[in-house]
Amino acid sequence: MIMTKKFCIASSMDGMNELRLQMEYIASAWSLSKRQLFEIDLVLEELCMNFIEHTESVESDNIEIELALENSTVYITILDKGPEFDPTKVAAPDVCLPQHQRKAGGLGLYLVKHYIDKISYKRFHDTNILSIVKKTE
Amino acid sequence: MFISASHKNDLMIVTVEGRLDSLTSSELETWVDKNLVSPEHDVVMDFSRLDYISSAGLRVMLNISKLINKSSHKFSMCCVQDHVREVFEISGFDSFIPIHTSVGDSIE
Repeated sequence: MIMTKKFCIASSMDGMNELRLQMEYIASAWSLSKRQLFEIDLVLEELCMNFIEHTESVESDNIEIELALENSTVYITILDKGPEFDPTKVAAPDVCLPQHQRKAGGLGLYLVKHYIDKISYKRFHDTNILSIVKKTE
Repeated sequence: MFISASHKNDLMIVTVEGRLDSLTSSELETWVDKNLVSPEHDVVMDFSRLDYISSAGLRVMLNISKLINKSSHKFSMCCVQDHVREVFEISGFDSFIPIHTSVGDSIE
């Protein structure tokens, strides 16, 4: 059985609040475990925040999110019309650095890559398209 | 998010409940600015009721760690739920913020 959900959020902190509400609905409707919800939630928050923080988007821009769950595998597609940005090319931070050499930032995409199984990016016309595959427990 | 503080044996226990994410991390930053700028004791964050953390939360934790370590006091966490603890471990934060199993273990 395949369960799907498609929704749009604004490219702003209001949009992040909407994402939170959508995830609460999906967790209930799909009977996600606490662990499944945590990991999907984290992946979506980090990728959407990355878009909001690193592009010159305006609030009227939307981020389109498609989720599908089939046989314990979650397929996530995130589409936005912001400037071209490929998060798969972002260098990983050094997580072995001592505290005094640590700087804020850079950990979001690192966490995403830890929790997912596959990520791919393509630019199609004026749209960034991120496709993620994540196996869950 | 709910933040509260108490003291036990010269240890300041800061309890954070709920989510520490891009929507709520500024609340903790504001609380820290008011209450932890000049810590008078060692500080432990009780995360037994912290259900979620993202990189926005890690950013605040890094700043708190630097702030407290600038004083002569120690900073640690305790009672961290497994999935939250995993985020600290993946990020390497457990190398500079000790994680204790209980508030009692945080008292040396």
